[in-house]
Amino acid sequence: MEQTIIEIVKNILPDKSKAVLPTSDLVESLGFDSVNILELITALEEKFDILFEDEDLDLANFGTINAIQVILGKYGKS
Amino acid sequence: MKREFERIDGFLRQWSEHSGPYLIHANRVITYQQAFRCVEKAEALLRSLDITRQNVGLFADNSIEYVLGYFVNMFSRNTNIPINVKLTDYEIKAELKYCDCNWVLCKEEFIARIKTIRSEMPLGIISINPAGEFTVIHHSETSARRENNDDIAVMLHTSGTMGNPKKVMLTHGNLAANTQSNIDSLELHGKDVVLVALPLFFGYCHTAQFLTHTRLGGSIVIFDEPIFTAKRFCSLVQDYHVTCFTAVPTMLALIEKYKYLSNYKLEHLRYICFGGGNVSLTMLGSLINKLPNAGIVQTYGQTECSPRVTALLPGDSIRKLGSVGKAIPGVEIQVVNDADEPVGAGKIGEIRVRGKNTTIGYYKNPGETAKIKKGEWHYTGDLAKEDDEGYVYLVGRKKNVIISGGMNIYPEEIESVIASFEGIDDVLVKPETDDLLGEIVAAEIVLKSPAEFSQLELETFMKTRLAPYKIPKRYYIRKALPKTSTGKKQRCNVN
Repeated sequence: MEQTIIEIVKNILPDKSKAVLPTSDLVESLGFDSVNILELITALEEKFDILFEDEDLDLANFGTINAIQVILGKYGKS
Repeated sequence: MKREFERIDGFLRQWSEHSGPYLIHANRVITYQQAFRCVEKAEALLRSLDITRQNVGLFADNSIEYVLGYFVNMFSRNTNIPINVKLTDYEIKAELKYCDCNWVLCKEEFIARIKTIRSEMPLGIISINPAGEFTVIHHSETSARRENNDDIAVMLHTSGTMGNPKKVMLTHGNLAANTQSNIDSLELHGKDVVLVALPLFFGYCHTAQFLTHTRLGGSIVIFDEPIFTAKRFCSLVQDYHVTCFTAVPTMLALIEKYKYLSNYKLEHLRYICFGGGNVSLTMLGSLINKLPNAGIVQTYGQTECSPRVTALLPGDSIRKLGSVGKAIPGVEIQVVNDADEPVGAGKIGEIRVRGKNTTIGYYKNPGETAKIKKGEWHYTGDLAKEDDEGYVYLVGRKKNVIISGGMNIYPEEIESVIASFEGIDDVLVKPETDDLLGEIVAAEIVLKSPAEFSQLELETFMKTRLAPYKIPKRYYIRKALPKTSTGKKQRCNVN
């Protein structure tokens, strides 16, 4: 699961030289912008065949690999 | 009744007893009266240190501290030099040096960063804490003092290379004129609540949002997430009854794509202004349908014009979709040929602007200033045509600029950095079209020795010299670059 998310994040990562760790802050450390976050949410929905509810689309839920794992858990993906 | 202002510190001074909310950021609220008192107290500190009539750096991201620092400089008759906190240390130092700053007002959380820069220049630092208190952290260690023209309120960076930057000098008169034009154009008033999501140092946000609504005594909600998201936009508009918002096309696209948009009560929103780059007309039409109560206003301007020049008002937004509208009150425009003659409807020419909003020029750069000023007219370098009813349609740019996500990026600046990397023989930086960002930066490079080249090393090199948004997203290795007949780089689309 963690590795799958890391691969999705790596595909979108604007700076390919950066290492993606479970605790890396996607915005502050990995340079994700608004468009990258939208791409990430879309990719996660496609990969896991889910539709995030509005209440779960807070930026904080997509801030790190760990946070993404937690929110995916809410949709029965773990 | 319209009130005249000679200096923009008057925008805040007039509200010294106004108990209404001025700035709202991350659940913090400061009233006009509180802001005035903080600024007045800090102005006394600066006066005691003789920090007046100087160019003073302002190092803060979008925050209450930024606005307080800005007005402390205005009350002290200084010129604001806003510095983008996302720049590299290398770029920040270059800007402060070029602008002859001996002092910088710095948001408390960035003090460590400025201290690093200070180790290489004798900079005085004053910190601004969340309570709006100003404290001297380091005194300036230079006695060299360049007294400025205190008619200049702010210098905004627009383009140029590090060795030859273009810092637009905007006077108090420019800003007083353009805020009034903006108010007249959109019929704004003191009950408006504006949401700021663009950087406050953007000409667009600086004058049309921050200063205009301060002048009116309205409330300013500052976006409180590190990047723009449609969800947070909807929440803030709903919670604070936001009436006006200004966006770049990327933000509009994100809002339009937001699948839960209809869940929110956004009926207070009466204007969304946007400018700064190409926009899909299909997306725009869809957004207008999804937000029927919000007038979508396409605007055109440039930093040198304070910035707003034209606006396409909501009544025309469908009928004239794709146009940037007509000149706003107090601003005159013409579309002219190379002989400075108006070209007439349907023909392409350069937009020139006349009005109290146009800059007096670029700081310490008379050569570049001479290129944009001819008598009373300011030459924009933007190409356009007008229709039979006088509506303006932008068709291109004479000057070389890439607009990505609303940020202006100047190819020459990127090229000079890439060219200084070992192993690069030639380089050309160009835009590529992108659905969400409008344009992205691409670089074509010619290598001296391809076998020894490492793209990773080049990117690492650039990261120390350029802010992230300027770094190319795509690279193309070429054997040679196309040149014009006079040997200049031929600038046309990559691929």
